[in-house]
Amino acid sequence: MALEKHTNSAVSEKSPPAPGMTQRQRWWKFGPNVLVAIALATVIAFLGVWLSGTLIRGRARSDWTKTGRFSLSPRTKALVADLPCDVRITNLYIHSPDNPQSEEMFRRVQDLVSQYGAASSKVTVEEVNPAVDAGGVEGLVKRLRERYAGELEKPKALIEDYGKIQKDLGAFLPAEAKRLTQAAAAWKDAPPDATNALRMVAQRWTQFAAVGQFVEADVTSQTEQALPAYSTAVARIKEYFKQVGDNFAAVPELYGQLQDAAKKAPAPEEVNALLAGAKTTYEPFTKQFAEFDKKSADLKELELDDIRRDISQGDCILLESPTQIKVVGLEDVWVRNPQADEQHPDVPERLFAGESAVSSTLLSMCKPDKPAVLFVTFGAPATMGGNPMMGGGGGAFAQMAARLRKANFIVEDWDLARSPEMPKPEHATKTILVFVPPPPPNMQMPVPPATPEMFKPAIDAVKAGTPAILLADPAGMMSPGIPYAELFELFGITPKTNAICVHKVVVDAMGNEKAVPQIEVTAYESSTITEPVKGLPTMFLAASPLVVAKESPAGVTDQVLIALPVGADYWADTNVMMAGRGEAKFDASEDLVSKKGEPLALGVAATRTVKDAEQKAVLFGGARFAEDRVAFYRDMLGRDMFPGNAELFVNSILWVAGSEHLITVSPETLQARRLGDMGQWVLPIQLAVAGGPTLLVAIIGIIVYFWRRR
Amino acid sequence: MSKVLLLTRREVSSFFVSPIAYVATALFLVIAGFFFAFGDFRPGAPAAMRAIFEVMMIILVFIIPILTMRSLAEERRSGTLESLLTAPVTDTQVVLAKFLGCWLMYLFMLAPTLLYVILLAAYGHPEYGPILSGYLGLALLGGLYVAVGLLASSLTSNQVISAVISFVVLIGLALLAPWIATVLPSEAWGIPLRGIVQRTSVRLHYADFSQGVVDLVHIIYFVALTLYCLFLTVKVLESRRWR
Repeated sequence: MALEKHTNSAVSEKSPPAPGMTQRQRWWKFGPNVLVAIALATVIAFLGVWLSGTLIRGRARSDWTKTGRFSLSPRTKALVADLPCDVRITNLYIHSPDNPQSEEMFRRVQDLVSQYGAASSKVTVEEVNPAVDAGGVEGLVKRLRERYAGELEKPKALIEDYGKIQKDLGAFLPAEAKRLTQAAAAWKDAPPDATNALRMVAQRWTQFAAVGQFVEADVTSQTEQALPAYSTAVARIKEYFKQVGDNFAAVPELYGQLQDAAKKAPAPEEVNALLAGAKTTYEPFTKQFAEFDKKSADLKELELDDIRRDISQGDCILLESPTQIKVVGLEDVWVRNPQADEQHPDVPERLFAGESAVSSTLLSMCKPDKPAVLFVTFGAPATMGGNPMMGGGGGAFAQMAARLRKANFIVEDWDLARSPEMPKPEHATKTILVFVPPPPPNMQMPVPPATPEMFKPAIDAVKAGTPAILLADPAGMMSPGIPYAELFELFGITPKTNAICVHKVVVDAMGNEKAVPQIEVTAYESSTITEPVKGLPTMFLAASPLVVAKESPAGVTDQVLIALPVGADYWADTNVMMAGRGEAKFDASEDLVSKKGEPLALGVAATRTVKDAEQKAVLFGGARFAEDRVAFYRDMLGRDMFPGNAELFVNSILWVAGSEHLITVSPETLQARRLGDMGQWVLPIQLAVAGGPTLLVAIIGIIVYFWRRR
Repeated sequence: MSKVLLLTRREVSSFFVSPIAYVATALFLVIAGFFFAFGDFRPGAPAAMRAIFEVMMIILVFIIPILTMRSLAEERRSGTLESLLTAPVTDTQVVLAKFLGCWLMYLFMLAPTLLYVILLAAYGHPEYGPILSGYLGLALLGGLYVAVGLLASSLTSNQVISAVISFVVLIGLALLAPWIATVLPSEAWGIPLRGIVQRTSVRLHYADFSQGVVDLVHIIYFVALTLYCLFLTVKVLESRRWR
């Protein structure tokens, strides 16, 4: 019965229309219904897609990346939730539907800043498209001008002073030029040099009058734009006044010479009066110029000028707190992708690093207190202030220092050759010492040898519990060794500075091998520091092995972070000179090798109990791995070759600083996780991947085909 | 529901005994495998599947119509569609079963690509989140492509014509829409033409999945378009009775 009922209902549902109807009648009867249904479905589908894109885009999304590349990290959420002041974030990306890429970039930034707004009621978010949103731009300009009204008072007053001086000067110069020309004409018997000199001065004053008009126009345009460029205007005025003032100052002397000439060839009364009145004529101006110069001397670079410059470059994010305004530029938000090259057009040229850029800016605005990292050096800069005579700007760790500053550290050098006093940076919450091996002797810049005594203040600080990063260095002719070796022993580590780690590699098509003092690692021991770095290549150049004591000193715990790989191709050669030249030969009786369970380490994390407190230190076998030339080495295509170096170093510093929760790998670097070396198996694996599953499916298909035919 | 499952099982079984499924799968695997092996799986290459996910979006434009072309067109040509439609199942159930059958077959076709994940894990340290979201994106993308293929298959009894219609629609949705958006005026008669075309582009909605972002907007897009195509397919089937 049930079946019958069901069958009936199915038939009635599907039953053809009443017989006897023509096709036209059927079309008229059913067609409109179907058309309406389709139209309705189209509208619903379209509205669903359109409205969801408009209303909830970016608001209901889940980020499945490990580091939360596309959502605010817990670190940022904590920072934003704990903001001590109100912050306004303005997205100033220029975008237009004519340029889909600009739309995409804008949207990404807007999604990000919206998340900041959603994370805290103290954050206000707005978007201003400078290309089309005139009202938004006007509001922003008004806000900035009001904010910097105090800062602008002085330059404004200077510009007013200039206006008055320029008014007088503008009238004076042509009149004086005319007077000089007339005097030259009136002095009939004058020596030709004298009249030429008068005419020349007149001509110069005419030129200055013309230049003055240009300067006035320039100053007007600089100061009357929406965001006035007072610094530029004042600099332009000073330059002009200096030129005119120098010339005015030379006039009395010139006129004195002409007066001497007038004694031989008597001049008319008006000429004599002109020559005699040089000082009274020009001195008021030179005094005004000097006064202007004096007033403007202590005029600092205006913050508004910086902001105006940054904003005028376009595509930026403006962050305003009650006390500061900062601009996050395109280069910080969209960092260049080290993986992008001509061979991979599908790899994006830039990667989005907006969160780290905005968060570090917020941090610096709202939390001025931060840990300080002091690079302990001896006679050479590490992070800044390179000697121009030596051909350098910053020290060997300048870029690394910049990376640390971005991670909210204060970074400074402590040059023990200059001062045994440990620097105390303002607002520093704690200090971390990074021991850099002293530089090799330099005949041009003799400094006393770096001895343990010279390093005593820093050594004592570590002994007292200051967290530290210790960098070893192989001893050789060019390197005197490390004067702080005793600190390694403090943590139960022996740096074998009489050896250098080498890796035997094939160097030519003939299969010749060479042991080079370069160890590239992509595998790390498990630890908080190394976990995020896994898979990233790190290069250790000219590093000594570290031997971990079987029994650590009391209160000390060591954990190997990176070990020298085990195998016949890796060893630590005791002939440092030969190894440095790439001529090392393995000698089983002297050289050291890494063994399973007894590894030679390249990096060790250590903790030590000092007066019931825990001290942390990370010890590395070499210093060069953290130097800019290795850590930020790029190939000819601009790809970052060893992204692990900088991450490892920064993570080590975060760890010793007690900021483990901030240990991560930067989003842009995470994308640089690469596949390791597959040796000779590359091609077979590739062929197997391309053909294996296909072959399997084809075989199954053939079997099924013949089975069915049977 | 049980009828749908029954029909789905029948559909899947018919796939496994049909050479066309093996041909399509083999074709898909050889192309995807080639791109993965020689594009992504190189020493020093990023340990990620983003590139292969992007490529798959294009490969599937050509593979899925091969899978779906026979589902309704073949039934119509051989006359079995009539008997199916007179059976005690609704048109919606038939279409749903056909859809699920093709979609499951498609997922089966994707399964061997998990080998790529295993290889990446063996030789690198990939992030699994974006891989998982990439596969979710592929599943949704496949659903949409299958629904378009079914609609095309319902329109004709010729398998080749059905495949060609699918190709054309999918190429338009996946590949041409972003380009068309660039040549269209941004607004015409007060309608934001460019925005509309941009938002219908598969690429726009699929790209986020491959980089690890699962946005509800994208899920709504794929589900809405898939349901829309299935609805149209039902209407096409229904129309056989009154045309």
